[in-house]
Amino acid sequence: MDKVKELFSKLLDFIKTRWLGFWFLIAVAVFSIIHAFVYLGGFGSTNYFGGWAFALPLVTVLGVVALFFKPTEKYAAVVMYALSFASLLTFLKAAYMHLTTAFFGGISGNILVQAGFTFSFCTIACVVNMILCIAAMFLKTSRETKKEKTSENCETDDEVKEAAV
Amino acid sequence: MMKKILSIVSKVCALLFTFVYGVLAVGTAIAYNHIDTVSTALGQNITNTVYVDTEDDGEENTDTDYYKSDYSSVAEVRGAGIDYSQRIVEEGAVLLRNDKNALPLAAGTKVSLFGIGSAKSTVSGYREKDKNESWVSFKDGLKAAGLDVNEELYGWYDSSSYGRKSILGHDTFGNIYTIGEAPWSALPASKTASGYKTAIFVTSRIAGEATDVQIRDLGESAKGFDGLDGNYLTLSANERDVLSNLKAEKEKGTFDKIIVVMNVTNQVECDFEDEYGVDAVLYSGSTGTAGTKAVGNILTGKVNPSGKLSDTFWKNHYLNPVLANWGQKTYTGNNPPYSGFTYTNDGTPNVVYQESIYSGYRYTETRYEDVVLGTANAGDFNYTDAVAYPFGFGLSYTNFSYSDLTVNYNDETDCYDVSVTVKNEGSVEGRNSVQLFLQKPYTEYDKTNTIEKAAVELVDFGKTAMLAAGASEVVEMSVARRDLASYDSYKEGTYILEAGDYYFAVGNDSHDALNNILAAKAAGGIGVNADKMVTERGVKTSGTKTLASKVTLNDSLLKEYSTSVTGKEIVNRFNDADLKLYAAAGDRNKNAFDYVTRKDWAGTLSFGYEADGTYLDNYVKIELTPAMKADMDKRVEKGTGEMPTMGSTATAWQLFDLMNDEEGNPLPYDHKKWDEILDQLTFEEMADLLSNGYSTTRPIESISKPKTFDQDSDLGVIMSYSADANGLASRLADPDKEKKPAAYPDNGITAATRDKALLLEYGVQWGEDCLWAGYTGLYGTGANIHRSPYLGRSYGYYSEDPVLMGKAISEINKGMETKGAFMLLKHCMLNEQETSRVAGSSWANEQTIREVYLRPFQIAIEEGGVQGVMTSLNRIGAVSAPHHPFLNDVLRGEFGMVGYCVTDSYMPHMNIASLLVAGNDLPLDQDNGLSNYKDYPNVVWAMRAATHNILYSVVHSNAMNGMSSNTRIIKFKPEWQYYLELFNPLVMTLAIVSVAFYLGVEVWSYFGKKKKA
Repeated sequence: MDKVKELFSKLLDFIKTRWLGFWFLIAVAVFSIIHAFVYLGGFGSTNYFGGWAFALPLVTVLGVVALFFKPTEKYAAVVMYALSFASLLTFLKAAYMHLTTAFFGGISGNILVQAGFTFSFCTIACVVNMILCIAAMFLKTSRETKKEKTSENCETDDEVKEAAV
Repeated sequence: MMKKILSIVSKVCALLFTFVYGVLAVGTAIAYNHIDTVSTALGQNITNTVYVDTEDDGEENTDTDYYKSDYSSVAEVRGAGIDYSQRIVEEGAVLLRNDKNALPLAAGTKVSLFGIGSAKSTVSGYREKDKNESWVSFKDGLKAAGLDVNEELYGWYDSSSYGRKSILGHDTFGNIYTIGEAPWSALPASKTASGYKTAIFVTSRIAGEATDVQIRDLGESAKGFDGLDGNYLTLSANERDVLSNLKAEKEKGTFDKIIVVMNVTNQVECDFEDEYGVDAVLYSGSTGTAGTKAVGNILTGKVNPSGKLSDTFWKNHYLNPVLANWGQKTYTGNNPPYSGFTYTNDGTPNVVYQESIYSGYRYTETRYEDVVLGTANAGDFNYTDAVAYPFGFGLSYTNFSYSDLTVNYNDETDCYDVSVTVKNEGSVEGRNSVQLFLQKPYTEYDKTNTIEKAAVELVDFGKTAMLAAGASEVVEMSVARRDLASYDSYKEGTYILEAGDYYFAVGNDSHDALNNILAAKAAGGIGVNADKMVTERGVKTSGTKTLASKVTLNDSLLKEYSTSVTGKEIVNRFNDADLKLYAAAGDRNKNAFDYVTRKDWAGTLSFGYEADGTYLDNYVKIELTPAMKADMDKRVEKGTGEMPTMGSTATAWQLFDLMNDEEGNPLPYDHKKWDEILDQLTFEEMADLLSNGYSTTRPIESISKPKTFDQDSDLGVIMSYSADANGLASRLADPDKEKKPAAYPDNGITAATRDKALLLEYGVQWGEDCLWAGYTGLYGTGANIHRSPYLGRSYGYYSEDPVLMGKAISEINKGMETKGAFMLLKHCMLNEQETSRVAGSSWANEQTIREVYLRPFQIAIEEGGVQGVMTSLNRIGAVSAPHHPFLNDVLRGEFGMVGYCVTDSYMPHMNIASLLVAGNDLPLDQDNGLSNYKDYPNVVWAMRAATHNILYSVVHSNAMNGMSSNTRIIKFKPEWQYYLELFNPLVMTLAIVSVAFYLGVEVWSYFGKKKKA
C-alpha cells in the first residue's frame, strides 16, 4: 500500500512538472490513434487503404515513449513531427483518388463535407498534429524545479548564476 | 545566445526543407501516375512526329493531310459555326400557336421585350457563361430582323439584379437555379411606353449535369427557390404576374399582341396561353451564339418556321406517369424523400422503368387510341388535359396538304418505300417537315405474352425544299421491314413480326397521324368512337383516311428478323435488368410489381403526383437481395486457355500501314494485318494504352500510334481552338486560336429541324471544329431518351423518340467523320436521369430497352456508322454498365460496332479487368492495376481486343494527318518531368543538409553543456 502511495505520489509529481510541450505531444498521440482507426473504419475496405498510411499514425504514438526519459524528451517532438508528416503524405498518396469521386459533380460550397468525413478528418488530424509538434519543438516539455537546476542543465551563464544561488 | 539562435534556425530549416521535400516527393509520385493528365493540363506534348528515311520509300507521300479543312482560318471556321447556330434555330424553332395570324410581325414593328429571359437568356448547355463578343442578345437579334425594340425596358432588365441565381452557391455541376423573374410592379414606366404595341415575353430555363430539375418543394434544402409549388417547369408566380398584367394592358389597348418565346432547354408546362390571352408562342430552345437572329427572322416572317417538336409538350407535367418512378429511390429500409438534385455513389439507389415503353407520346397517343376504340380498362383519360402540343407538332405561316400516300414493299432492299405529295396551299413560301408514323397491330398474342405496342411510332422523316405558294414536291421515305418487328421478351426471346394489319400514316404531328389511322380503321369496319376523336386543341375531328395506308402481313414472317444485320442470332441479353426475369425465383417474388400495360391501363398505371401536384409516393419499391449484391460486387475471375502472342518480331508494321489496302480503300477490321500488328505489341504496351483514357488515347512508339485527344461534350467542341498542339489552329499559329467555337443550340432544337441534309452539314461543322482544335474523338453526342422533361441533361439529348434521335445522330456522325473525327456516343445505357446516376441501378425489361433506350444507339451504329460509345455511370440491373456483356454481345455482335468504348469517369464500382472483358476498352481515368492480371488469359485477350478497337478508330481518323510510311512517333519526357527530376534531388539534398545541420547543432549543444558541467 505504501509502495502504491509512493508510486501515485511520484506520478503526481511527474504530472505536476509537465509543461505545454508534453501535453501537446500527448494530444498528438491521441489524435494519431483516432486518425488510424477512423481511416481503417472509413477506407479499410476500399482501394484507398494503404498499410503504411494506417501504421504510421500508430508508430507516431510510440514517439510518446521518448517523453518519459530525460535524455530523449526534447527530441520527442521532432520524431513525432516527422512521423505525423509521413502519416499525412502516405495517407494522401493512398487516398487522393477518393477526391475524384467526391468532387465528381464539381466543388460545391462546403469542401470538407463533400470530401467526406474520413478524408477530411484524417487530413485535418495530420495537419493539427504537425502544428502541435512544431509548437512542442519550441516549448519545454517539463517544468524544472530550482533544486533540479544545476550548471549541467543551464543553457546560459545567467541560469548558471541563478542555479548557484 | 548564439547556440539558441542556431538551434532555432536549424530547426526551422530542417522543418522547412523536409516539408518541401516530402510534398515534392509525394507530388512527384502522384504526377508520374498521371503523366498524360498533367501534360495536357500544362499544354505540354509527350510525343513528337519525326521524319525518317526508310528503305521502302516507294512513292513519296507528299500530301499527308488525309482530312482537310474547307477553311483557312479560325475566323472562317468559327464564323461558319455561328451561322449554323442561327440556321439550326431557323429550321428547328417550333411555332406552337399563332392565333389570328398574330405572326409574322411587319418590319419596323415596335416591340417591348418582357421577362428576365429576354436579357439573361439561356444560350447553350455548358456554354452559359460564354456570352462573348459574338453572342447575339434577343434585343440585337430582333433589331437585326428589322424590329424596333424598346431599348429602355430591355436596358432595365439587362442591368437589374433579377435573373437566375444558384441556390447552392456555386457555379458548377449539380446546381439548382432560381427563375428570378421580376414582378410587374418592379418594372419601369417604359413597360407601357407609347407605341410599343407588341409585347414579347421570354421565359428561360436551364438545367445541367449532375442535377435533374426540381419538381416539388424540397423545404430547407432548396431554400430560396422561387418556382411555383417548388416546380421549375411551370411559370413562376412573378412570370404569371407579368403575363396577367400584359393581358390587362392588352384589354385596355396598350398592347395589340402578346407573344411568348420559350427559351428553354426543358419544357415549361403549356397551361398559360388561354389564361393570359397569349396570341402566339414560339419555342426556340436555347439559342446558341446567334440563334436569336433566327428568332427575329421568324417573328418577322423572313423565315417561315418549319420545326416540329422533338418531345410531347405537356399541359400538366403531373399527369406524366414516368414521374411515378423518377428521381432518387433507394432499396428498402431507407426511402428518403425525393431530393431531385443530388446523387450518391454508395451503390444503393435505383429506378424502375415501370412505365415500360409508354413514355412521352407512346403513352399519350396509345391511351388516347384505347379511349377512342373503347378498349376495356382504358380508364379515365382526357387527352387535352395532359397534352398541350403533341410530339411532332409545329405550325407554319402557310398551309401544307398531303396527298397520294403510297407504300410499296421493295423486295431487293427489304424496305417499304413510302412517298407522299406535299403541296403549299398557302400564300407564302415555306418548307414542310414530313413525318412518317407506323402502327403495329396489338394482338391477342401480345396481350398474353406481355408485348406492348404503341399506337404510333415515328419511323422516318424528310423535309421539302422551299416550296413557293402553290408548289408541290414528292417526298420519299424508306422503312426497313425489320423495323416493323417487336421484341418478345417473355416467350420467343427475340424479335417477331406478327401477322396483322400495319398502318403507315403521315400527319401534321403524331396525334394527327393517329387520327388518320383511326379514320382508316373506321373505314375498314373497326369500331371507332368518332365522338371521342379530337385534335390537340380538343376540336372534334374525323381524321383523313387517305393519309394512312394499311399493309397486311401473314405469319410466315414471324421469326424473319430474329437475327441481326450482322447475322448474329438475337436472344434475350438483359434478363438481369428485368426484375421479372432476374436471377433466382426468390428475387422475382420478393420484388413483384406490374409493368404498365395497355391491356389494363387502369389497373397498372401509377402516377407520382395528383393533378394538383400532391406527391403520391407510388414508385416501385424493391429490396436489395443477396443476389443483387453479389452481382454488384462481382469481378472477373481468372480464365483458362492460351495467352495471345505478344512481342512478336515476325512483322514490323507501323499503324500507318493499316490505313488502307493496296487499292487505297480503308483496311477492314478483320484483315489479317490486324492480327499481325497486335502480335507485335507487348503486354506493357497494351497495358500502357489501356490504363489511361482520360480524354486521350496514349501513343505507342513501336508502331507509331499517335496520341489522340478527345473532347467531352454533347454539343460539339466547347473548348478553345488552341486545345491541342496538333490542331490546325495551333499548327498554323492562328491569331484567333484562343477563341472558342460557336455555342450551338440545344439538341432538342437540332432534332426539331427534321432536316437530314442540314444535320449532315452540321456534323461536318462539328468535324471542322475538331480538326481546328486538335480533337479526334468526341465524348458525345448524347443519345439518352428524354424520359421526363425534368431530366437535367435534356439539352444534350435530342428527343423522347429513339428513331428521331438515332437518325439525327446518324447524319451528324457521318458529317463529322468526313473530317476524321468520331463520336463516342453517350451514355450507354439506361442513364435517363442525373439523380443517382452514379452506381444507381436501372431496371427495365428487354422490350423497353431494345425498342426505346438502346434503339438510338442501334440506329446511330447501324445507319450512321458510329464507332464507339461512352458507357454510363449507372448499373444495368445490378451490373455496372461498363461490366455488362451487352457491349460485346449486342453493340458489337448484333449492331456491328467496330470502335472503342470508354467509361464515364471511373468510379469505385468499376474495375479495369472486368470492364475490359465485357468490351469496355478504356477507363476515363488512370488505373495502373492491369499488371495484376498479367497471367489472366481472358483479361489479356480482352486487352488485345480493346487495343484492336482503339487502333482501328485511330487509324481512320484525323490523328493520322501528317503520318506516312516515313514518319515515326517518338515519345519523350515532357518539360515538367525534367524540372521534377532536377528539383527532387536538389530539395532532397537541402533537406538532408538541414537535418544534418540540426543534428549537428544539437550534438554541439549537448557536448557543450557536458563540458561546462
